Amino acid sequence: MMERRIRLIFIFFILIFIFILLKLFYWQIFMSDEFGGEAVNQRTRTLKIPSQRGTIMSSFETSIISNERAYLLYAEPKKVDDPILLRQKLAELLEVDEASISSNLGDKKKAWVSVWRKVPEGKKDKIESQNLQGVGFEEESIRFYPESSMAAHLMGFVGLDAKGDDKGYFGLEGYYDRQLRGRDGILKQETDAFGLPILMGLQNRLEPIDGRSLILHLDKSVQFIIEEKLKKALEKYEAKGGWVIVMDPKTGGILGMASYPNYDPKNYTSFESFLYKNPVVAETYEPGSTFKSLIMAAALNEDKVKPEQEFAEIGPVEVGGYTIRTWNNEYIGKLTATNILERSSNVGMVQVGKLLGKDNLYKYLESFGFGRPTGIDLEDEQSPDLRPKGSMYEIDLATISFGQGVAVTPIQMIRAVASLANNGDLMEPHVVKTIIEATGQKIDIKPKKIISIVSPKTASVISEMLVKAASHGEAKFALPKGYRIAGKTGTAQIPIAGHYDPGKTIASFIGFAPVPNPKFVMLTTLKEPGTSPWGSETAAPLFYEIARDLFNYYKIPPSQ
Amino acid sequence: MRKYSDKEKEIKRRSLLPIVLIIMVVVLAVVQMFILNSLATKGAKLTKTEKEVEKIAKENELFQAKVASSSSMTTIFARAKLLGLVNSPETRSLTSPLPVAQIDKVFN
Repeated sequence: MMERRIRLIFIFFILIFIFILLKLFYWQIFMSDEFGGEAVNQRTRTLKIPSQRGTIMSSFETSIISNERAYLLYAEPKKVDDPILLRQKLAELLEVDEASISSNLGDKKKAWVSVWRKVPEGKKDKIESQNLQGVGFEEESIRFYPESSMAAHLMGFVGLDAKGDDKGYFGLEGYYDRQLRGRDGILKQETDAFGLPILMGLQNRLEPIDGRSLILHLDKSVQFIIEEKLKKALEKYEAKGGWVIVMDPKTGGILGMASYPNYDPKNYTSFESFLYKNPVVAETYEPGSTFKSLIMAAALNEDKVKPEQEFAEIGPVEVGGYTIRTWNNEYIGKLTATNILERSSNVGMVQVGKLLGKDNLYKYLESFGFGRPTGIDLEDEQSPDLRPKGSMYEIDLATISFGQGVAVTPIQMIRAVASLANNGDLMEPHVVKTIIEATGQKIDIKPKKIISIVSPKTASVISEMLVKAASHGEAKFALPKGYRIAGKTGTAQIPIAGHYDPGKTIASFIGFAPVPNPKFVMLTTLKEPGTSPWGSETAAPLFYEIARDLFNYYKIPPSQ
Repeated sequence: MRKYSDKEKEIKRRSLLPIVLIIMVVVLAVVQMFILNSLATKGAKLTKTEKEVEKIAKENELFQAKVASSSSMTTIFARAKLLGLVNSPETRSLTSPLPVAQIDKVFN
């Protein structure tokens, strides 16, 4: 009997031993990965070391866009006692609608819930002072705009992508997004029971790499001048919108670019999305009489026209069943090629276009860069197609010669005219001058010449003709005294559903100064001005007002 | 005095080697223990130093932002206006002096 009991106890112990053995086998073989992972999680902490997005600086290396510290507010639902109250409090402290706060605060299955991105320092301090249970912060950065919404269209803005990471949209932020964004670092550390790092333990550190920074050709003073003047002009001339571009003709560098209406990049969500696109590169328009300067330059370069060559202007001309008149329906009988530009004669330009011929016209349109993107380093550049050469009729030749029936973007237009100010050389327009690597190494973007379109002699002749056009033209009253400015006004009608809107115009003025050796080329445009439809009465005075300030800023004395 | 043969010297050297190794192991173990002991308490110090670095970095960022805001065109323009500065309504340029060669020509 005794022996039997001992045997039973022995078997019992053997069974327990086998059970323990099996359990240990299960834990150590089947569950080893899971338990090992949990053990590592308990004794290590992984921290994200945020990288900085590259800054954007003006030509004098002062910041236009930099970064400031912000925080990701998160919640740990398991630690939250009253999710409804927490939601209410957070909405109140963040000054947002309660509905926009995550409804998962009470979902106990979730270990971590993102509540709000880009919380500024002040609001973080306010939330922390409330000692709310189950909420925490993770560091991230937010764009800082010391110049407020200066050059908003040019700069673009930073939003979030589908994964919730920062992403640049539109303008420079969009175009240079891959250059500007950095790579976050990671720090993995073994910690003790108090969460303090064990220095002899595991230490894995992947250093963050900051994004590259950009130095622009843009001069903050020039930008400030053009924005102030454009804002005032929009009010004065009751225009619906407008843009001003200032470019260095020798390098193609953009010295300033302003357009209205615009938006605030910091609060871009409060604005309509159609405002995000930069009209200077994304909007097309018919250039009107400003285009005459290019057609005249082409005719001079082909030796089809001389500046003093006489043309008849005795009345409207009939082309392909259409009647072409002068802008004021006045005809002076005879006028020279220079007079055509001075008086902005459509009738005269039709004759110049005819002398130039269809083939040459098409060749020069392509050479001046129309029909294809300029290659400017900005997102969303559009390029309206040129009418195919085969389907270009006599009437097209006539209307294109005075800037109608051809669509261009403002950047294409200023780049083409800049070639006349640059001895006939067409440059690639550029906003960024230098890229700075995270290591501090600077990479200069060299000016890029695309093609020589007209000879230096032609460029000089057309410049002189445009100086006369500016000084004898309709807008001479506003011309700064003593300065030689080459320029041409333009008043383009707006095409709608196969015809032109009789009451709406786009008024513009394009020119460069001083002549010779221009320092800048500038395009001023006002959309649908209310006080006067004419470029000579709206866009030209705006051009001259800005030019006056630029002469002072660049310390350019009058030459006459 | 008795002279040791080469073989005897070799035997003696070999018998010393384990003793030296044991002493080295003990010494190094003690050194490691001291270092570990010292480092084990440095975690808190490291955390404190990291927090200080963080604080200074934050202050530096705030100063940079302040400099950027204070030197912005809008601020400068507003300050200038406050100080009573106005845009010049007219700029007068002095005629540049004649080049030296041309003055010589006049005298000749």
